Amino acid sequence: MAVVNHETKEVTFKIVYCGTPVGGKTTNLQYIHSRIEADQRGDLVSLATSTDRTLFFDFLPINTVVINGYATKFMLYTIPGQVCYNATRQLVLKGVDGVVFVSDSAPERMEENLQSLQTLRRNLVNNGITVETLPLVFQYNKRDLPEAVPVTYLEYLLNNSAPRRVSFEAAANTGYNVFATLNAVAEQILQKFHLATQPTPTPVAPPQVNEGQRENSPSTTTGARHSDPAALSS
Amino acid sequence: MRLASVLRSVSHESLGFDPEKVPDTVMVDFPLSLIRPQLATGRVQVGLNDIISGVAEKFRPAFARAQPSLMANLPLSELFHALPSEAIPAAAPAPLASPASFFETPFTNRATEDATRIPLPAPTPIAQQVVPLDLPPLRVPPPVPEPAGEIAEAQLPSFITAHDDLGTPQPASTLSTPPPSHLPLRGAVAAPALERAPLAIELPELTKPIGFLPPLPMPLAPPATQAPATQAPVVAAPDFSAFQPTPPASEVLEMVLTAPAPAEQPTDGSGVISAAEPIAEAPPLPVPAPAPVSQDFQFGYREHPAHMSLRHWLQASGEMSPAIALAHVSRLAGVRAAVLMTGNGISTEGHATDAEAAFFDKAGLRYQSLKMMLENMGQPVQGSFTMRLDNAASTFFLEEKICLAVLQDEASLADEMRDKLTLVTRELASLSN
Repeated sequence: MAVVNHETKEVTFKIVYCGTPVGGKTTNLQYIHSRIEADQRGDLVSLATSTDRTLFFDFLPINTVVINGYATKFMLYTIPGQVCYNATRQLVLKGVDGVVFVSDSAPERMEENLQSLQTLRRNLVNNGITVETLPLVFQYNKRDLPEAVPVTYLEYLLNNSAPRRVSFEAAANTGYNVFATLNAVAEQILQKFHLATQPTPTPVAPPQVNEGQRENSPSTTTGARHSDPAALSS
Repeated sequence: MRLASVLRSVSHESLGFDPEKVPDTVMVDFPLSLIRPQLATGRVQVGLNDIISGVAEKFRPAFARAQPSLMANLPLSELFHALPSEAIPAAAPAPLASPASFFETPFTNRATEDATRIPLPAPTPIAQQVVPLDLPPLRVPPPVPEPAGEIAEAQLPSFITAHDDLGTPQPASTLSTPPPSHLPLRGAVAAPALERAPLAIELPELTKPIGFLPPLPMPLAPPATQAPATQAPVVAAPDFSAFQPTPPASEVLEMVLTAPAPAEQPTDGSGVISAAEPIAEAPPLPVPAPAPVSQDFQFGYREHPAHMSLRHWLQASGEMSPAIALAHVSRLAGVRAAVLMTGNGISTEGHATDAEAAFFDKAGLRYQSLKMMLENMGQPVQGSFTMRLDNAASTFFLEEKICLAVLQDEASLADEMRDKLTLVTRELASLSN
């Protein structure tokens, strides 16, 4: 759910990178961070637990272009793949506008990829988000592995339900298709935002809007910047 | 597929022979109807019967000792090499969720640049290319016809060995009955029976009943005195209750992580001690003034046990207080600056670089956001959390109502240092109680 602040003329979108542990989510953010000018981005913040291995999350704010007089801000997050951090995932997924699902192309990670996707779907549903209408892009990472499974199989395993999603082969360590993935999800988010904010013609009958669609629609505010959609709706 | 790789995930015990000994030339076939339905789960398993029926008949007796419930995970990497390409299932045709968009995003240019700049990396070679040696051709012996009927145990392939508890595989044909477990171990020497030695000291008989001395009177500990300003950098600071009412954790977290530096640096008058004043070198540790000789009776005075623990963990001597402990922490290897946040305020120790000043400025809010995030998740507000930023990393140690935060040199603290600071935080928490 995009957050629009009319007072500061700012629109904020939240993109979350999900996927299996050690699948390349953080590497994606690190690459994006390294390629964006310092004046357009904030710090890349990573929060790790005491074992110093498992990331709680990464966070990268990107201040970008002005669209129709509104400054656009993208908040990029990663969420941990580990099952034990389900609560963190729920928290970070709150108010998400778009998801990049980063899957690992290593053969032995296929089952984990699938489980991670199923968990993501559950977390989205628990947050009241309609999965079918949420912008979501698949990134098949680590294509440089010698034994990377065929993309056909990854599509069959992960991207096999209607509607099909856009997917990319990628190698986040080199930056291959990292921005293409981000661009694709941003396109979908902006398109959805545009459609949602279009002035609607005089309706013949009120459209049927279910809870999920209402949840995913953009919200506006005129007060201080609220980055948490739940705070706006409450 | 190679039988060796199929059996790689199976234990020696459940097979009855060592799977490592299976030659790479032994192959196993599985029907596509067995494999294909399982591909949708990301894992393909086969049972003992599938394996037995998939290997050549002469190898089947090797599985006589295998557990019937045996299941083997097929290595997908090899499976995909073995499967014909048309056998790999494809996703059902369906319309794309979002058709081609006309929106140029802030990332379009970067994506276009990268598309021309970065090619799809070639797969990493598994091993170096093997250079064939120029060797004379091998003389192939004439094929030996297989005997009809049941294969004798002696004719089993050499990799098939009996399960040997001693770890040394033996051919099945030479396996003898294992020795009964009650037999003595080889090489064991019977220990001579110990003779009871006479006691060296004869205890005299007690002539009086044993009594206990009355406990010594324990004077109360002296009231905590205010440390002189020159010694202790801790001064009362704004209470964290000023943060109330608190918004949801996720909102606070985002606000904190993006929060700009405060417009005004806190001054001494605000109650927050800042180490932002330029300091040429690390200030010497405050030397405690000699305790005035009191006329009062001091016998039996005990300091707080946490003081002793802190001295131990920080390898310090002399007087100990939260402020002094903090000063010691800031001088530990790998630590650039330290902040102690309690209900009474914030203390800081460190040099006056920009990074440290920024760390001091944001530490309080980050502590609050961490605390709220953990509370929001129903987790206990304790533990250590490392926060990495562009060029700085800091670790927050949370314990009850206090937080010790350190700005570190490296991206992560050494395990010993993390443990040490966790213990220091615990002691500081017990002091604050």
